[in-house]
Amino acid sequence: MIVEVESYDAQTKTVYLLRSQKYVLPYFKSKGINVKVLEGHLAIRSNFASECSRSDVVYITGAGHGNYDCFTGHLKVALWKVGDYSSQEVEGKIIHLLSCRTCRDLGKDLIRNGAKAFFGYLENFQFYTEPNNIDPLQDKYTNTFIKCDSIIDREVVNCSSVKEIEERVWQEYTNEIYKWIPIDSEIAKALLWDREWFCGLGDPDTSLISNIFENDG
Amino acid sequence: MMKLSTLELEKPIIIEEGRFVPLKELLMKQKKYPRLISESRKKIASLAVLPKELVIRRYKNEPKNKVLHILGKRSLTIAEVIQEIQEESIMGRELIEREKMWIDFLLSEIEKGNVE
Repeated sequence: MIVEVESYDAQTKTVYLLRSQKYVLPYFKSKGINVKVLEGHLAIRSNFASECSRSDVVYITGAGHGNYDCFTGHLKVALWKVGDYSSQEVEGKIIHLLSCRTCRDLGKDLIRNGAKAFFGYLENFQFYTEPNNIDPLQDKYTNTFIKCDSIIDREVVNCSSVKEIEERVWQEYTNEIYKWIPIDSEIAKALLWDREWFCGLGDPDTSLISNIFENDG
Repeated sequence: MMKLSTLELEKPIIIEEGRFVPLKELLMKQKKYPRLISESRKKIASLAVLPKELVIRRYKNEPKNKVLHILGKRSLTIAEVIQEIQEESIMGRELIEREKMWIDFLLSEIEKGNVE
């Protein structure tokens, strides 16, 4: 089973919509994977800890606010904070947080506490939106950024190794940078920033267990 | 081979004797002085931080209608981006660092012959 946590507010709603309606959740469902989604007001510490602690959870992916030492959910309450969670929540699991800065301290702490791998960003995650409150699902700027990051989710459930995922994500960002340079270099610039701060932790050969689908049923 | 936008070519990329030199000028001069790009790249790499005046000039003709988001933290119009750089706030310093990263990337691509 996979736990997907999506905290959102006015600013991050576009990210939430693209992940839950376009790039991440529909992909999991197309693969027949059992997903527990904690979104909005459900993205609180007690729910999160309880779901992550389940022994059948192999992958945890989330989007929300974050900093070097924490990842937060609804109303910016910490879901994980360095030194303040049970190792049972992370042991043997692969984790991806689309959030600012979590890779530097929190990611390392999750690995120290037994996570198999962690994907995230060492510094702020930047993205652009088009003006005039365009429909988020049609926003070509934001689509580009979220699509690049969602390669992590897709490759994890395809059982790619940490090293393969890093290479694939780097290549996706690079392709998009080249695509955007002649169109709007400001978009390419933010993509370059995200690519440079993207980081994978854990054994490079680690991947999701291949029998995930059999176990999930 | 990638083609740079007109806007990008017109942005200043380096300061020479107090003058803001646009990228298109550097590319033209490169034909006469082949080592110019790599020397410019080294010069920029040697700076601890880019001069904020250079970064602000680079935003001068940038369309002001898009919004930069720092996930979960802030949303900034291009006008606010310029203001943050002007004030050298924490966000402004990050944006100056991002500009340095971008200029280095552009020059490295030119060095590699990847730019038309």
